[in-house]
Amino acid sequence: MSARAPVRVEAIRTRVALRHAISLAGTAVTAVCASIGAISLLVILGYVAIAGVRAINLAFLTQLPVPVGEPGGGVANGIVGTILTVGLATLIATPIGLLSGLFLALFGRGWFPEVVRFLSDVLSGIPSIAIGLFAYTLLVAPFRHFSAISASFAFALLMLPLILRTSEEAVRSVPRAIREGALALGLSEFASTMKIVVPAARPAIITGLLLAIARVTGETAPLLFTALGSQFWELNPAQPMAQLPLQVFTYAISPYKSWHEQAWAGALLLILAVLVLNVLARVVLTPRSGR
Amino acid sequence: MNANGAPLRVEHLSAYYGARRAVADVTMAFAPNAVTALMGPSGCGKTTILRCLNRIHEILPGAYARGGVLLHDEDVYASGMSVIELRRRVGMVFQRPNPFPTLSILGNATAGLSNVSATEKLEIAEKALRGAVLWEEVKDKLHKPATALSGGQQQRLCIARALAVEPEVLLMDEPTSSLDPISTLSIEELMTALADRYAIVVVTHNMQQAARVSDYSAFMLADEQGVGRLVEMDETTKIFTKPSDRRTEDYITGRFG
Repeated sequence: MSARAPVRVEAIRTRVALRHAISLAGTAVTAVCASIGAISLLVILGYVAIAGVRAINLAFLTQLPVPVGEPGGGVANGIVGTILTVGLATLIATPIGLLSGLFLALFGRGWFPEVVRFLSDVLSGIPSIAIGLFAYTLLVAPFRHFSAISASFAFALLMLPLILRTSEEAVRSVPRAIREGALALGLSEFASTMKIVVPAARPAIITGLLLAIARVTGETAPLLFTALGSQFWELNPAQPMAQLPLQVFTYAISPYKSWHEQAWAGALLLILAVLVLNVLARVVLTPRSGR
Repeated sequence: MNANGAPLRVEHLSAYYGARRAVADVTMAFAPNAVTALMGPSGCGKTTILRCLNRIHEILPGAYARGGVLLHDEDVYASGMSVIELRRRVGMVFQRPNPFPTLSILGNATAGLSNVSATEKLEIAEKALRGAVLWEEVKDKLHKPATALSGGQQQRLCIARALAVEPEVLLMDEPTSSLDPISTLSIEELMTALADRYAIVVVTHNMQQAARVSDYSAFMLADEQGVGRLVEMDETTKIFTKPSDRRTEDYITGRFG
């Protein structure tokens, strides 16, 4: 008998066939799982579109809500209210988040930055209803008055950790060679950061900002006891203000068919807004050839 | 070489990355209006030495240097020395072209300038871009992004950017290692031309390049502990024909490295 066992072609063939089968099965399982995610999004989108598109018309977009029984009416005040509330939240959260992110990216060593990072991660995990309750305790209960600004405050708290971490990541991902190039020219630490590093990170920062806005657009729970909602045109952030997600909620749990349709239409608007924000976020990140 | 008259000298310099010593006790002088090549195999500390000369070494966390770097007899590591001032006087070009991605060609060429009017900027940019032999290629697209240029052009833009602040010394860290042969040739010709006005220190692990462009050569080698040391430094012709150290001869004849 030779030192080596004789090669058995038959056995090798079986083994290869088995491996092919396992590989095929693995590919199939992962593909199915991936499809489930994509398909469920398409189903939701399609269902909401079909159910909501009938109620979307000019009146829906431009008129105030009407009492039950009257035909027509719209959610114009809710659309404007949502834009105002989210806009105000963005104004609050952006400077704080951006500067903290910059701080973490540039001076991110030691115990203090670690604590900031940890707390920010915790904050991003807190349920939005709890954030809303916090805003209620701080800005609604003491004044015995609901207000849009308290909702913006709650939204800002939800956006803050997202903006902070994405801008930290954006600044960090600027190649070290770029920063060294700026310093080697005799630019100060401050000038090289502001003139060279941050501009290089700008697309990624804006993307993070847009995703943070998308995250709170359509957020409903904190609104229940902050902005409260309103039947009227209200543009003063110190007053209760109509909100599209709240209108969807109110209409959806009502017993009236015409309101159900409007709830679907409102939901469709929210989804479209988030979709547009996400697409924008992608477009910003795509490098352009010339400027 | 006579150390007197050298604009830049290194005396008993040791450089560290945290607890690790990368370079030990290096003393050398860089002549004016000449190209000095720092060569040696990977890990011999040649780039570290170069990065100590404009104190860019120390921006890495934990990195520091001990000993002296003298710019016209002024210790650049002295507490009164402004790092910003130093880096304006000692320019640097990096291994890979690193133009600032959000700035135009003009913006890159003038990125190191401050308190200069727009017309002055244009003048300085033209002078620097001519100095880097790039002007003719970019004069009609000064406002295009720098990233649209080819690798060799980007590297010449980075040289122009360094020239615009009018340094006395130009440090080049393997400036052609990421370029094709034609771009390499143009950068090497540029180095020779620039040596009329600047002291140039170039790190290279390419011996042919050192032989082609440099007037003086320093050969470095890491010892058994991995600490980089200067083996010898002399006129390039001498280093390549009659090196005084056996290890230099072994290296340049290709016996290792």
